[in-house]
Amino acid sequence: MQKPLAALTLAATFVAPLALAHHSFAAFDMKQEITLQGTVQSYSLQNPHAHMVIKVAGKGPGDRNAGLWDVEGAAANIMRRQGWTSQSFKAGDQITVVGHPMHSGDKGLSLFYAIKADGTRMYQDIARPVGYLK
Amino acid sequence: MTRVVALAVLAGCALAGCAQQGGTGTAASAPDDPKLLAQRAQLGGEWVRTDEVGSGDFGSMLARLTPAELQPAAQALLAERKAQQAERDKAQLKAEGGVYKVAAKCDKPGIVFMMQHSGAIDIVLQKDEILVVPEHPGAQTIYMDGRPHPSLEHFTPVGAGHSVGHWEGATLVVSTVGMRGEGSSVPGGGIYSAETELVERFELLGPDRLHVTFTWTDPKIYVKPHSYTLTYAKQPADSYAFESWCDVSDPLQGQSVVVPPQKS
Repeated sequence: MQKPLAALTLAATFVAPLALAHHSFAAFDMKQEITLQGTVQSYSLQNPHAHMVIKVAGKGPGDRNAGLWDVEGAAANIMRRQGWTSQSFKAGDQITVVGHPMHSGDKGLSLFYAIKADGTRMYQDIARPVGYLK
Repeated sequence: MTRVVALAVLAGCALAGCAQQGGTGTAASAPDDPKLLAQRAQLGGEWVRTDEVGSGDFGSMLARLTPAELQPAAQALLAERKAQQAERDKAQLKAEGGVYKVAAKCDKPGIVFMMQHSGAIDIVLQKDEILVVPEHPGAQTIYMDGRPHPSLEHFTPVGAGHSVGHWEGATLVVSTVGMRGEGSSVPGGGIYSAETELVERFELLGPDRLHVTFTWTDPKIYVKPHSYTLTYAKQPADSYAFESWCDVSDPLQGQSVVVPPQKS
């Protein structure tokens, strides 16, 4: 796990200052986006960054995404401006998350946006998908 | 609209005074024109930057801006800073038992960070000064009473520097010098020193849309003035400031992902 991290960190740090975060996001591959569907195990709108743990059932035997993931969001004040509250999710809620995976392959994700069971899309920050027109 | 007019009345003399001090007004409107004062009053309140076209991620929002043209020495300094930051991040990124430790830091105070950040800024209009207050520590005080900048020879550079402003019609124009040069990088790839002048033009596109055009001028750093525009959206009237609390000594500050133990 340590070796690929060391090799990729330098390049990642030259990616633009994502979300001007409180801490470095060098552990994430910000050029990649993945989508996970799962069930919320825990959710905390906290500083320096929000976190939620989701359980991904996967699409069958051998699906490497199956398991428990820690999803990291933005700072609480930033997410509040995008509509998040401390009650946005609770354990047991169905959720889809789109975000950036870790270089190491560990089950951690830097959140781009979440989709609630009713289809509501919740962005973690002010950035919108390519081609988005308000 | 009623609220806007009421605000204009409250701030009326102040805004008119501002115009008399430093503003030029417009050919079609006197400085105390109620319509003009109402337009200026709309600048007050909370604003948040927006991504109007869809940039994909926060960094790409800034990458869309026209790159700064830097003098060779400034290019070298910027590259050195990036390399040093990369080294610091690399050195401090460690994964121990599924817990990712990262470089702990808090938001940098100062205009550059405040205006490109995605937290809110609160613009407070007062008689002789205007405040731009972010949700993290530090604020910009803009003196509207016609005073000049102090001599930089006797000024200690700080994040927000020293700002003076005036109205040009309904557009607020602000000049700032004396900023700490080791602060945040300028969007578009720039740097600055205490001698660099930043001019901000706050131009309302409507009651809920704001353009701020930033122009950096310093012949020692820039081949030509570096300009870019950021867009902000007005927040609902009942919104309130929410502190971006940060304590660099908090262990969570230096922690990112905690990989959950996988249940078999």
